[in-house]
Order: sequence, then structure tokens, then C-alpha cells
Amino acid sequence: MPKPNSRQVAAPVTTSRGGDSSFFWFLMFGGLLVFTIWMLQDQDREHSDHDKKQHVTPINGENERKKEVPDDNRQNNANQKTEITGTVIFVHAREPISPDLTRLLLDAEAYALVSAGKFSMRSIDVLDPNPAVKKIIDAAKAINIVPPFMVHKETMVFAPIPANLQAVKDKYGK
Amino acid sequence: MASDTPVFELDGQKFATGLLLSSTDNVALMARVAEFEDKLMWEDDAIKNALVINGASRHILDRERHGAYMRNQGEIGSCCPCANTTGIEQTRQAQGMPHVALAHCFTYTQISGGKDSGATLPDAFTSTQQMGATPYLLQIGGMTKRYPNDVYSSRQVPADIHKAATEQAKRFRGVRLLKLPLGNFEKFCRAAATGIAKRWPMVWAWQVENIGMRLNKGYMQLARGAGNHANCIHSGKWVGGKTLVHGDNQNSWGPVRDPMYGPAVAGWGENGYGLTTMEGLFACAHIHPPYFIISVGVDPNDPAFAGL
Repeated sequence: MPKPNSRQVAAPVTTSRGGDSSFFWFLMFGGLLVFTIWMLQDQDREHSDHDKKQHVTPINGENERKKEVPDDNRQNNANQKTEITGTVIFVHAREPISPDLTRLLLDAEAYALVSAGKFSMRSIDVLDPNPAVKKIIDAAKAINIVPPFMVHKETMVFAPIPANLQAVKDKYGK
Repeated sequence: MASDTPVFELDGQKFATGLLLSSTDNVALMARVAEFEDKLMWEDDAIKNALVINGASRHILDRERHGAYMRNQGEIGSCCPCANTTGIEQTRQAQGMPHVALAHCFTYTQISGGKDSGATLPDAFTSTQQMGATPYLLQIGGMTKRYPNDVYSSRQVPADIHKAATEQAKRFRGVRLLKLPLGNFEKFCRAAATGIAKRWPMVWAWQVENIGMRLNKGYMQLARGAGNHANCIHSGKWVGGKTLVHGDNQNSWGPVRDPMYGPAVAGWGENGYGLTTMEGLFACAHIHPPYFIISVGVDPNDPAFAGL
């Protein structure tokens, strides 16, 4: 069997090698391109993740709180009443009066001013001898409520005086 | 005709005072008024929190709130009725009651003895508690008539107006007063600061001389003396330290925004207001004990109580 011509043999091999080499470089170049794109995409992803983490992940478990706070607020805001109409009468001793009640009455007065007549309040002294005051106190006593208390005139719902105006809105508002 | 009481001039306008020394009966009456007790006093933080709102001093906000109802007694010696009716209006406002302009001269006619020679503070507050204070605007026979603000005797007032005023006054009565403790200056300061923080108007006395007609850097200039003029401390400025608060005085010398409250003139102080120190508030306190108007009664005509 004649030996193959080395050149002949070599030629296809070379040719073949030559073809393989181009393919190799094609693969190398393509692979590098894909790798680069992938890396870039990965880097973008990392940046994106990092940004997200920066929004929600400060230190010491703050992330959990920060993630939850907006949800809680949404929930609380949903529960909180924002508007109150009608007249709320606060029946209490005008003295002694606490800093909280002083502030509540001031806030209620201010809210009445901006409510364009929809809301009004009265702060009534338990010592007021007027029959109207006695009637309100008697009506409250009938359901075992004694001053200090508040009553929504339109619904005649009695309740203890809470700590702030928001709680009054929550009780009588919508 | 000018008042028999000391009259001072400012920018060509005359302003009367009108505070008389208390009679023996007045002193006995004042002794029966409840005194501000230690247990009612607030700590510094609570006082400060009530007087500094969002970084602003409440006396500035209150000047705006109360300035619409500034009085000008003019040349009538009605400072005591002015101070008390102003205090009643402000307490009504703090109690959420609709504003009703109250005629100080009605109260003056009740206690003047028919002469324009001034009055005492105990007589003025007793009148507002027993007779009540009457509105300027009165409905008489289908017409609205106004109680005059330049009178000192009921004889100067048309009979129908005075009769209606006497009837309407029952609607606006003071309920509770509290006098300040005078035995100890530090306690006086804390009681005064607490009451101001609680939004109670304080009726007090000071001595006016010519220098008192102008402020010095926003502060009143009080003369030495027993006290010849009564006013209303409507609010205060937190200053801290031992005296805690400087009172913001609402005088009764204009400028009025509503002419119902007296003659329209340039008026006194910063739009009728001027600050005073606790030393100033205390200066005449032993002769004319200052007091807070804590509460006023429900107006039976108030729609908030209709149907209850």
C-alpha cells in the first residue's frame, strides 16, 4: 500500500487543521463575546441587586423593619379615619387639665377652624350649672360613664376622652 | 367727656385707665376665690411644649387669633370690664364656642355706680359671673341694635337696649376663676406659666405712667405704683430659666380691627400687644391679685346643645 504523500496527507490535515483553527478562533472569539456580554449582564444584575439591597437593606436587621414599615403604614392609614363631622362635646374638669388634653382641645379647635363648618367641638366644665350640661352628664351616667368623657352629638355615642385628636377621629370619623 | 380715672395720651389720642383699689368687701370676696394649687402646676417641658409649636412661639399665633377682637376703651375708665370680657371671649374660644362679641360697657354700667370713675377687678368678675356679659348685637323687635361702647351708666343707654342686654347677659356667664399664689415668687412664676400654657386668660393689673404708653423692644414699661390699669394676659412666650414664661399682654387701647370694639385709632404697642416679665406681672399682685378665667358657661342658645 503506497504511503500517502505526506504533503497530500498533510495537506488535508493542514487544511483540516487550518479549518479547525478558524473554527477554534471563531469559537474563542464568540465565546469571549458571549462571556463578556454575560459578564456585563451579570455586572448589571449585581448593580441592580445592589441598588435594591441599598433600598431595603441597611444594617442590623433594619431591612426587615424597612420592608415592613411601608406595609404597616399602609395598613394603619387604611384603618385611620381622616375626617370627622358633626359636634364632639368634651365634658371634663377644665381644671385640673393635663398637657395631653390641653393639646387635644387645641388640635380639635384648629381642626374645627379648617373644617368649614363641618366639625365643631365644645369643651365643657363639669362644674357648669347649666341644665344642658347636667342632661349630658345624666345621659352618660345612665350607661355607667362618668366625666371625663366625650360625646358625638349627632350619634350620641359616648366614650372616654382619648389621648389625641386622631383617636377622636378614629372613634367618630370616617 | 373724659373719665375721672387717669388718662394718658399717645400720638394725639387719649386713653383712660380705670382700676380702683379694692374695697374691704372686695378683699373679702377675693379671699374666697380658689387659689392655684401646687398639684395643678406643670413641669418645664410640658409648659414649653404648649408654648412652642413647630418652633414658633404661641404668643405670635395667639396675637393673630385674638387680634381680631382687640378693644379700645378710649376715654372711658372701663379697663376692668374690658379685661374681663376679653378674658371671657377667649375662654369661650378655647372651649370651642362660637365667637360672640361682648360689650364691656354693659358690665361697666353694672359696677360703675353711675359715674365714670373706674371699677375694681372683683366687682367686674362678680358681675360677669352673676349678671353675665352681654353681646354687642341685640335682636330687639325684629331689628338688630348695638350696645354702645362709650357709656358708663345705664341711664345713657336706650331703655330697650339695656333691657335686652340684661336679658341676653344670662347666656354668657363666667363659671370658674382661679387666683395665683402670691406667697412665693417662684411658685407664682410656675403657676402663671402653667395657666398661660393651659390657655387660660389672666386678668392682672399694672401701673401706667407716660412711659408706659410705649414699648421698649417689645416689652411693656411699667411704672412703680399700686396699679391703675387692668388688662388681660392672653398668651405667653417661653423663656426658660426660673421665671419660665413672659406674659403677652392684650391691652384695651386698640388698634381695633372691628369698629364694634371701640374707636379706630393707631393704638398701643405691637398691634395692641406687649410682653411683660414675671416681675412685671408680680409687681402689683399683692394689691390687685391676678386671676385666671378657667371656664365659662354653656350658652343655652348654642346650637351645639339644641335637642340635648
